[in-house]
Amino acid sequence: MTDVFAPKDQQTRELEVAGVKVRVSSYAIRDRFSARVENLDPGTVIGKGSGKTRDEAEAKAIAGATPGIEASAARAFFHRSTAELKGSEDSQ
Amino acid sequence: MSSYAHPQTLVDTAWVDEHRDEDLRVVEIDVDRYSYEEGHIPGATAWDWSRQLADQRTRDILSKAQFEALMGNAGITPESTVILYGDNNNWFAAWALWQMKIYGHKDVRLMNGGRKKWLAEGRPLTLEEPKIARAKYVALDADTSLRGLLASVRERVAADKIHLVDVRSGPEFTGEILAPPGLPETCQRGGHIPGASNIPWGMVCNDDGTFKSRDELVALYREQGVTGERPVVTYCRIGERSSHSWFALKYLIGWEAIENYDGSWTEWGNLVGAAIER
Repeated sequence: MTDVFAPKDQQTRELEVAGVKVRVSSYAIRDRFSARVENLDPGTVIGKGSGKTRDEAEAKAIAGATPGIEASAARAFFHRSTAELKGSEDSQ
Repeated sequence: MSSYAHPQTLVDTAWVDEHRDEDLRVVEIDVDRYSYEEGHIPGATAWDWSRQLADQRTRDILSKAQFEALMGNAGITPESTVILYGDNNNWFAAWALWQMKIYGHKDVRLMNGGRKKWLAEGRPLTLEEPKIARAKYVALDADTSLRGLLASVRERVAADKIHLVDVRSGPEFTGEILAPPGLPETCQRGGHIPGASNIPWGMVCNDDGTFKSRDELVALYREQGVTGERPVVTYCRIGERSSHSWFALKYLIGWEAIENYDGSWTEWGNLVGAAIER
């Protein structure tokens, strides 16, 4: 007989991580909680975590997602800066 | 309201729950095994998309021999009914289905709504991995009509012979960003393939991740001039979001000439000498 269980207490909310809106979903599996962080568009999972409490699971998932989001923001800043520099060079 | 062109390629969560003790092969496909190991549909095995559904050395789909080995190890024969589902709104499950169709598997179905819907409905999970008896799988030769390759796509773009559907987000399409937030940039340039229409993958789904009706899908694509009268080629960043839209166009709407260009923007955006639009 397969040992089965059901996920419970699912919650989803949006919040900002490093200036980017993300979706945080979490649910209870047996005696632990599992959490995912997704970017809103296109909806990719960018962080995962689990823990004894929902807060712990979500904190781990957010910690997992943060470096990638910060790196994306840094690259976007770099691209904008480069474009602005090229624009100012062209106008000289 | 019209029915899906090939309704047998889609099953709902209730059906899978009801039939999971029957002779099905249920496979969860995610970017890795993390979610599967937290709990999966009883009886399901797992495929790791990044390691098992692509040739990492050549950046290609599986060879016929690799595909046969994957199927055999999962206890799948050419006669098996295979149900695929997964994380990320079934993107990777759709990628697996696309390859199974390339190699001629007859009965493979997506579970509508994927893992997210199964969890949202509080359906049963287990940690137990099924004991699988290896099977012999003889695949058909690859059906290349389902796949867009660079040379062919490039030639037909130049001749305006295809309708390209870019399923990435708006900011990716315009080149405002080179990758979705949190993901690595894999190309030198931002923008899209000249002439492409931007119909993001999420527009083919309802809020719960299930596919929209056939009528809604047809209207969605027709609004952007995609009618199926010319071959349609879907692409995204690396080919897995676009396989989700490929499935909707090919099996739910039922237009014939639908290809997934899996080289996608990672390939085109890095090409020397290939024009782009922003």
